[in-house]
Amino acid sequence: MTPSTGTTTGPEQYLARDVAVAKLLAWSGIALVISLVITQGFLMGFIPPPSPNLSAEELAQIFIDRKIGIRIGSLIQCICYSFWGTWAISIVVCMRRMERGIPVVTYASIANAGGAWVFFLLMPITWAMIAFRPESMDPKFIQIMNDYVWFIFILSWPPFAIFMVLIATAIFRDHNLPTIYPRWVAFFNLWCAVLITPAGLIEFVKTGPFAYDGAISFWFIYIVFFGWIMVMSFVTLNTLKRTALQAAA
Amino acid sequence: MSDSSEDTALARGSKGHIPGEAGIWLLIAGDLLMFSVLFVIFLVYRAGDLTVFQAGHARLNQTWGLVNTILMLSSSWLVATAIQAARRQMRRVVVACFGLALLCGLGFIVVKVFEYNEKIRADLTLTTNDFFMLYFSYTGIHLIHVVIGMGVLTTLMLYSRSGNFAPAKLRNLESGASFWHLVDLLWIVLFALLYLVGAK
Repeated sequence: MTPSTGTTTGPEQYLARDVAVAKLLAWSGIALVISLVITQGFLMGFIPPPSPNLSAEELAQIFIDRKIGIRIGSLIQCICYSFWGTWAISIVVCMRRMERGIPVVTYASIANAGGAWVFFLLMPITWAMIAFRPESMDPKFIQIMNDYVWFIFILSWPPFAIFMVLIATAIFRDHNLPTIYPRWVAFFNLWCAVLITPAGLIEFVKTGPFAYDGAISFWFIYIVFFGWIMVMSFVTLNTLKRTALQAAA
Repeated sequence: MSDSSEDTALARGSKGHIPGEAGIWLLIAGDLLMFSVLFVIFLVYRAGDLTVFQAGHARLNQTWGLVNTILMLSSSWLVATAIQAARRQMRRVVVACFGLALLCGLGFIVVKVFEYNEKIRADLTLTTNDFFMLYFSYTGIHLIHVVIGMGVLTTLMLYSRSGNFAPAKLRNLESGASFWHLVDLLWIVLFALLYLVGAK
């Protein structure tokens, strides 16, 4: 590469292209949420989940009746849930610009984002396996596998809460003026981190608000978590737009 | 915590001063929102099965609840005193008050451990009935808040050791203190809801 004089491919053009890619990554989070509503909601009918109080036979019948929808849905989910990793990096890119010296919080976030999508993918893979031969499978076994999906989904809250706390930490330590993200975003992330903690209670109950189909453990946490992805996507897109404008100026 | 530019411009003590920075109130309002949902759920369940809730309520130990209420109120008062002292640059008082508030928080947890133990020994657990399911989960969620709040208080105490309470530093202290007041407020409502509603 030859040193540029700023006429054709100056550093600001490079930055503009980087920002364009980062924006695409931010959009992938929005795609994840939309795919969730379409697949889990319409194709599978698992919003809300089947009650943990159902008998094994009743549950097996659900999987037999909906197996085509579940197969198509889990195929789409395997693609779109992988976007967790791409989406998270659009935020980490912004976090990197908040840190001086050793980018500790950035490294921690990259490691975290790289691990967290495993939980996302395990859900559609397990569903696809149940819908593969639900007629010949022992209903008791289907019940265990179905519980497993929801436990994977809800009990895996800690790495996601840690990511929220890491985002807040980076914003609090941001040295830029004005800060890369507005400061309310830090408090919003802390709030979400606190809100998803009751998820741990699904271990203990099969009915009521804290069961895995309950008002708190399912509805509230679902709305908070996927609402958080939407809010963070829009905030990140805004931030990236400002970065591009600053670079152009 | 950052020292952003507007900090110096923030005239404290003026009319209509909002403690802490605006963002902390987003967190507090959001948390109150969640607890409002929890309280509504409690009242709906209670209306649905009044006898179980009255029987469950009768088995709670109001003394433990009252001791914890006193601990929470004292800690809140200590935190408020610490903020007042910080405004007067009384470094030692600030550190001492935060330390004592921390002890109150610790006392709260100890009382809760005894109380849970007493219930579990009497075979009253999360799965006994709807009343105890809500009792254990609500107080458990609150207990997580107490633990997080104690982390905040510890941070505030260490942060205050160097003194020099400039406006930016005072605002950070106020933000942390506001969170602890939230923890206190939530307990007051929980105490009323679980231990007092329907008391005869």
